[in-house]
Amino acid sequence: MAISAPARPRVRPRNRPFPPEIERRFEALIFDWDGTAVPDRSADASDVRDLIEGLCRAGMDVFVVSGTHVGNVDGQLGARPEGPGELHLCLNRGSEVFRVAPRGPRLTHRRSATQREERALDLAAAVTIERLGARGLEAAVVSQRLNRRKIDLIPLPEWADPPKAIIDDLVEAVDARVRAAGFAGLPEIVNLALAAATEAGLPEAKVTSDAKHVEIGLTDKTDSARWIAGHLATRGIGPGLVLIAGDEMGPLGGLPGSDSLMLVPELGRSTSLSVGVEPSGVPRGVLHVGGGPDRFIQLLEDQLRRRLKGEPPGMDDDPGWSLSIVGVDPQQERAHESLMALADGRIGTGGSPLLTHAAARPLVLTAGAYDGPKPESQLLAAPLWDRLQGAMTPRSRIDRLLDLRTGLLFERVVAKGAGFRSVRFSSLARPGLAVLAAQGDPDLLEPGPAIRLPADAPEVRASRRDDSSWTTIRSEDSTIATTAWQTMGGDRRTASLVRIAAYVEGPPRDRVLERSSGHLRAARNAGVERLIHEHRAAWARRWSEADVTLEGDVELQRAIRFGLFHLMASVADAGEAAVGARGLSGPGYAGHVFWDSDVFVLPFLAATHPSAARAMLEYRIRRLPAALDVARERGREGARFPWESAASGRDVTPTSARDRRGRLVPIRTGLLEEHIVADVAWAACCYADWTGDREFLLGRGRGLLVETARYWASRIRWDRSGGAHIYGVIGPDEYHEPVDDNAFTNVMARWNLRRAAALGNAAGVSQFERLRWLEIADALIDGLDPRTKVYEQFAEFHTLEPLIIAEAAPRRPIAADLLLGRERVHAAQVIKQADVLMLHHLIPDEVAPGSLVPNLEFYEPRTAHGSSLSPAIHAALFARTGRLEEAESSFRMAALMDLDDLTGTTSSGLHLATMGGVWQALAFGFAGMRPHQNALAIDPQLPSSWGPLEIRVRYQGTPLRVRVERDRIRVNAGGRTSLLLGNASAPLAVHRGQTSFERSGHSWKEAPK
Amino acid sequence: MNAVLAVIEPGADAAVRSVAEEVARLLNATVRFSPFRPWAGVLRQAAEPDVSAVVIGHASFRFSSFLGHVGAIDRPIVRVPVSFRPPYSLRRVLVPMVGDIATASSLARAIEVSRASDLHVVVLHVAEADSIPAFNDQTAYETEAWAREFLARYVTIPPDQMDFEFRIGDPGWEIVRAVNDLGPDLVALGWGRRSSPGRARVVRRVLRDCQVPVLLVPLAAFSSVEDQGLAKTS
Repeated sequence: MAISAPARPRVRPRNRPFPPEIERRFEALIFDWDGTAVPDRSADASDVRDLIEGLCRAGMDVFVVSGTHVGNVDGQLGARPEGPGELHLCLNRGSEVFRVAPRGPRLTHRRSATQREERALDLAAAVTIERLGARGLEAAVVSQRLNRRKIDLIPLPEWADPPKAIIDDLVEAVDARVRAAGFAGLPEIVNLALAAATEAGLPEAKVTSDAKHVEIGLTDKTDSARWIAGHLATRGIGPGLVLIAGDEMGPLGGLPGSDSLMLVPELGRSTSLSVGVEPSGVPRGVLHVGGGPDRFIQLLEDQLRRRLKGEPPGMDDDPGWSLSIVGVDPQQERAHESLMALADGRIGTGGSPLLTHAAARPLVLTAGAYDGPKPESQLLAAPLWDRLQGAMTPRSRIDRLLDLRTGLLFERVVAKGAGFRSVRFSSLARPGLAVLAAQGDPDLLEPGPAIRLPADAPEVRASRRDDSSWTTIRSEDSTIATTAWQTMGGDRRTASLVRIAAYVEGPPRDRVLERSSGHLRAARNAGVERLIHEHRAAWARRWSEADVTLEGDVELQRAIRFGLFHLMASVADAGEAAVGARGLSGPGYAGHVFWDSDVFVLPFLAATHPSAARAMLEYRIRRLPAALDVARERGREGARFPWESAASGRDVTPTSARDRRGRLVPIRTGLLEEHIVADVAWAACCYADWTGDREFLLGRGRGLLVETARYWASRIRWDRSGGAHIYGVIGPDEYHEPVDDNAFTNVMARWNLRRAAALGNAAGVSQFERLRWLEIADALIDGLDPRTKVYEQFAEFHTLEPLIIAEAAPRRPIAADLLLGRERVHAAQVIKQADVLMLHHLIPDEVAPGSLVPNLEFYEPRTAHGSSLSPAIHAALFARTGRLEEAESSFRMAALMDLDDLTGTTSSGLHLATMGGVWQALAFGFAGMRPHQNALAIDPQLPSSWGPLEIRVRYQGTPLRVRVERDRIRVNAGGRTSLLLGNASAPLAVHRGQTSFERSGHSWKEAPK
Repeated sequence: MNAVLAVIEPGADAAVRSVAEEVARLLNATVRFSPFRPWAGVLRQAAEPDVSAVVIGHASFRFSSFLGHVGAIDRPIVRVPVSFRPPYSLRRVLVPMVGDIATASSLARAIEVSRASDLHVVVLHVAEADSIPAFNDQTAYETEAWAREFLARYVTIPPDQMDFEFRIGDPGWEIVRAVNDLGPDLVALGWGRRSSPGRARVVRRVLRDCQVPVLLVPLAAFSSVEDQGLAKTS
């Protein structure tokens, strides 16, 4: 990889090889100082300094772990790295961390003992020395360092400062000394010190020994390692990419080696080695390399050499965080490319093999760039940035791995005895920027042009400028400018490639090409390693806001993260975000924006990354004028948003299509599926409720609520008895059309009117108009039978053939319109997906109390679930009613919708709304979370087979980690917030930090700290 | 040069000749004639290495024994119906398939040859009730997306170079209906060359009820499902 290194350290020729586990590029290095990096504290460390500075410059994060203080380590090391890799000194045996930059070390973390703890440490040390002395073992406190007391067990001049090389002799001498005093060995002395610490009031004291000393402290190297693990998580570097080196990994004098304390569970998938003598061997899983500091320096040189030669970043195949595909299955390839798609909210790129393959369908899409203002408009195909010269052969071997943690797509290819490895990403830190880095045999790694035009591109211009190439693709609505640069390096045996492409989309006369060139220039100046670091860190921030963990089910855990990954990747968090039904993962649904976006995708973002939800709403806001025009043209007031939306904001729904029986059928959703109007209003309120941004509804978002209410007010028709009706619509159950008084449409409209009226005077709506809205809302027919509490889905639904699809179909889900034919389902009580029940999911306070259970019992058996939206919503509803086995089964189906290609159409893109539904099933359903009464309601209902479920959200500005179990809730709050637990009627306040609650009958009570 | 073996039998002579000549024209092959009897002679000639297809009527077989006889032939067989009358002009081919790899790879060659000869190919996918898709979100997009993917998976020709038909129901009946609806000049079916009871149900139905020549393409691998003449989508 190209490293912008002004001064590279000298890298000597390689010595003997390392064990195969180390023969790869690591992204972070953690090592002990004394004995590992330097033989002693007086040794010249200039080689180590040069190498560390070089490694940081080449992108590696380096952590020095030592028991000593910053003066000792920094004084000896003296490194002043510039980055992008970071150098941290984790010192004072786990109590301090310094970040070292060109200006020197800066304290970033310190564990400060309280006065009580200081006194307790003194007391523990004194008692220990006294008890040793009572047995005839002379010992002395040799230093009172930060948070610890160090006791010398062999305070004799000849053992004043023994070099590490004679550790065997030291251990023998100390052992003889303690045994002479009647102790069984060092472990007994450590236990004695521990007991003294506990008696002194430090039950969690850390007692360690390096044979010569025993130390009683508040921290030890485990604290350093844990801090590092946490810090690496913020950098997007998983444990699988970490190398830990020490010289005392193995037991010493019967005690665990001091460096083995770095092997904490949080770094459990890291690679660890020892360069020490290790007289008693090393723990299982640790590689014993030996060779001391000289060998360690060779290790640093090897890591630096790999980076200077352009080796792509290491690959972390953590099963909970990665998706792997081996080979190319011509049957499944296009679906696999959707699964492996990369996106940054602005552009999306299919996960095709880099080399040409007949089954592949390389694709780059740009969010919101359509090919014209027409019903058949679709997303413009953008130039391809990820193509290499050459083609796969039948004997080529390929494997791809998508790292969900970091959005890096790795690919390895072997063909004709040659091979290459690559990594590519769509930068979340710099949306619109795409990067490819590869290294391999020159015969196979041929770059070809940096960008290639897609087939059938409309108006195209392309040329070269300086050492970059550029293209523009124009439609009536938009222009996509792409500027790309690439460079080859290496030698006769190994070639390396770096390619960067910058995409900018804008209106036709926008200066997109200049902006694209500017982005590319800035990216080149940053260098690939910095781009990778920025990108990883950006993903780490997103996961810190939104990760969901489900313990005990690896398959579901990965499926959940897979969905969250693509949800986050598909939506920009600035400007406007036009989120098509398949996001940026494929061309399906022409990139048109449906209610999928407002009702299914947006809630996840409102609850985790509000700026992205806001960008989705901005898309609707900017198309409000078109919605106002359409309403006026239809003789209505207010805003009539389109069922399918693209660039202009006018409806782009096709009017006819061939069905799977080959018949031309009319498509009337564009004309009649009007609940989209209320769905848009609901999305605006969802955002406001989660964020607490109520100014939004009175300001820029006002039209989304007010103008939609005006639409409904003009849309209803009165009957003679004062009932208000909405005639001739299509509800979410699209098997029946047109219908009158669809319960979903009417109740959503009622909610829309009431919510808009509740804005009051501040919204600039007259009291007269608000009262009229409330009057209409009260009069709207909703089909509720007060006796049964069942809503009639639409007028006359109950007169249709009472066909129970759960009994009639060979299985469910099933596309009942294909099974029975359109005419039959139209005449029967067979529904496609949640319709009435969608009300219970979206606006539970607007439906009759206690009506969920009877409606679920009535409608679910009549539901074919022939929509991919259906399983997730039903999972949530089953969970709310305690039907947990059905909830789990529906949930699993939804979570695996694309991973198992259950629709057979994953090839045309991922089902983003299903992914949003999966999150809603977890949050709204299983965890029972939703904004309610100005508090966050939590009411968990977990299947017995599930372990704890932890969901991260941001409620009204406060980040929360909510961990739910069947009988326990644990909330980690980033500030003060209000919760409403179970069936409580009043919210309770929680403050920054962790609060736990236990189930007590039907309510929850705070658990003891 | 390859040869098309035309099996001449009383009552089907002209029809077989006409179809064989058209098939040979498409394959750029010569027509080689073989008398119907003795049947062992037909099998011997059909096994000649240069024979690329066999055209046969079954005027002389009882219907129930036809498949048993031709099952011994490992080349593509064009069966000419008894009622068929020349002249014959081959322009439009119906290729029913459900999408198994074995079926697809067998029929892919037939489709390629058809396309190379500028024949109009209609791929017919028949789903039985138990293989109806679970989901059908928005017809306006799902049909096309699903069809494109189906063709991409099971047919090597680009989707825009052929027509695609989808039917739901009993495969044999739906193929017969499609033949009646679409009027192809040839139906190409994969088959496992087994004719024991319970096998080759679809092939039997199509041979019995379609009044156009039927091309039987031997499958490379057999299964009980494939022996019905179609195979399941995996």
